[in-house]
Amino acid sequence: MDNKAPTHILIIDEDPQMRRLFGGKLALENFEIFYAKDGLEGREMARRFRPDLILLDLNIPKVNGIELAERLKREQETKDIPIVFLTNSDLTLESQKAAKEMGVSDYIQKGIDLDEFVIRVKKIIGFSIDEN
Amino acid sequence: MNKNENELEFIKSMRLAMHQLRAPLTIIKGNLSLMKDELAKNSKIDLKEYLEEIGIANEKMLDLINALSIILKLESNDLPVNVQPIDFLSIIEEIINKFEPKIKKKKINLEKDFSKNLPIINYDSDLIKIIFQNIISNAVNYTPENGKIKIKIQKQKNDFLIEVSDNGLGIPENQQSKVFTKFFRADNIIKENDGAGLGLYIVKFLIEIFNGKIWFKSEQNKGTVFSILIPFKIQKGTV
Repeated sequence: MDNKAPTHILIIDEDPQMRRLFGGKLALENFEIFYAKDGLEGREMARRFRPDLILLDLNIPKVNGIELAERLKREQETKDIPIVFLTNSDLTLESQKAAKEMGVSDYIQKGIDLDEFVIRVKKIIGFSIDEN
Repeated sequence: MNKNENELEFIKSMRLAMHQLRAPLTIIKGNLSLMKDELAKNSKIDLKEYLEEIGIANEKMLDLINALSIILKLESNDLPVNVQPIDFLSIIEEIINKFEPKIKKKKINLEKDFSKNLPIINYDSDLIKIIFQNIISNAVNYTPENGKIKIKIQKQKNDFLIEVSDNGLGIPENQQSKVFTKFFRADNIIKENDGAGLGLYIVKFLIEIFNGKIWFKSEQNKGTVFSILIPFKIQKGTV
């Protein structure tokens, strides 16, 4: 992989302030950010742009986060894109286990310190790049 | 509702309220952190955008707390009602004026059709304002640019019939049964200036306290008409 090419991240969240906050922080770190506001748009953007990472809120309209993650992990075009749940919700241990079994790479609470958020995102993308 | 159902309803409401409070608090925390980092790099940086984000989040929290406060009073039968003679038309005009900047910005065509010689009625003006602020706010927020809103006030034998119609987003049919429930927001709305999803629950509650009625017709992408019947007389005292 060409390490100088920009890394693309898709943020799927219905709250425009959340999109601007996390997208803004990642853009300051030189990532290229795409946005989607619901599950249908998210799937469309993922299939079209094949981002290097998807940050996915669970409470999105039209197709919810869990259902969208399952779909993306099932479909040929998108199954290898790492997905991270970025959420306000508290995931139960059972949900965390289910997410892992589904192939979701991580789940991050939105209240996280933004610098810590960037470190975790870079770790996931770096890890995926090495694997590929 | 029996006691268990009430408790479950309370827990569900608390959970949703906490979730809604967490989001703007996260926005404020994040933007403060970004401001701090940017100032550290360049002390002359323009912080206006960050401050606007913080302002939006702050307003959302205040709106939520205010709405929850009203609901608490309504549900615990503790909402004082101050009945006095009010000029209903003046109140509606006052509310419309408040939305004038937004209506102008979105180039919405607002049509008013008000009956002449509406009587002075004895009501609580603050509660009337809450009802119509919510209804008109929804029409303005969910009508796209260059859209149309019509507000009709008709005097009938014993009541006012008020219709607020728009040609905006409409409410998807499979979600219409939930419109007056707490924290409901249709999933076709553009989530920028929307509220907590408590306004219509409060509106219906208040209207029914006044022995009035509220109903609506809506079609997705075509628009919505809210109809409200307010009797000329209500009873004095604490609700």
